Amino acid sequence: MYAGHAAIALALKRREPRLPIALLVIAAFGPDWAELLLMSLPGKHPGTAVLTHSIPAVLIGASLAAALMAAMRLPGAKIVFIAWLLHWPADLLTGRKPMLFGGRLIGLDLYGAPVADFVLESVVVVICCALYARAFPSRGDLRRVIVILGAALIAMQAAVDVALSVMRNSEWTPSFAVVERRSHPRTLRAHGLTVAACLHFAPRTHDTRERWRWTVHEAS
Amino acid sequence: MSAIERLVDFIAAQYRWGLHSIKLFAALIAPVLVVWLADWRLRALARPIEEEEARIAQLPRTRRR
Repeated sequence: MYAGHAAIALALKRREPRLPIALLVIAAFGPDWAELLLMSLPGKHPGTAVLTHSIPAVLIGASLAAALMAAMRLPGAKIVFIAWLLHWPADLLTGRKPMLFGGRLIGLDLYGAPVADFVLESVVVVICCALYARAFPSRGDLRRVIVILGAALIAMQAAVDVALSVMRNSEWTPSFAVVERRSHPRTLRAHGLTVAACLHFAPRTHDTRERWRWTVHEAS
Repeated sequence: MSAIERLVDFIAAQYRWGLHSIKLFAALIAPVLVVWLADWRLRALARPIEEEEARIAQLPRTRRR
């Protein structure tokens, strides 16, 4: 998730108005910053995601950030902890992340379907901006700034999704289920309409289409 | 592979790594700046309203209109 993380920080800001928003956004992107720091170290870095985006790593990072806030006597250590922690479930929707140190990556991998990713993140931005707006008096000029903020975040997300659709040369591979498992052919035959719908809405990559055709052929 | 070719390869690799790091940094810092700027503007716009509300709240109830 990209713009969604910033939007989550906006929604959390209402909980602690004294907490600087820049710190909160940095915390919401915390695992990504940690990954960037690790990548900036000299040498090759295989598996940095495990050290920054797995559940134990996110818990450790969130605790360290909250402890640092508490040590510096800044308000909102708990909110920083939550913002850092929410990075993992948010990324679960758009990417494929490790659960523990090692093992399979899991996630909906919406980065493989950039249109769906854009829709999801735009909805998150709109909802979170609406929540953020409730922290301010209801006036036209204030509302205008919040609408511009939401539009800017959505535009940034659109840029990322366009870049993903141009550069990323891989198909959509969500991995909540085991990859080798297929639906039973009889079930497919009984629900021909479902198969047709899946075929229609499947991402337009060669491999996915061929796999669905193969499954339908096997069923009939 | 000659020493010059190795040096050119090394510089090219560093350039690619640097470019990648800069792009990632820009991608991470951009939302921070956008949100901070909007929040700063919102606080500046809301401050007079909040001060006015605080002033009204301190007045005796009969004079609040």
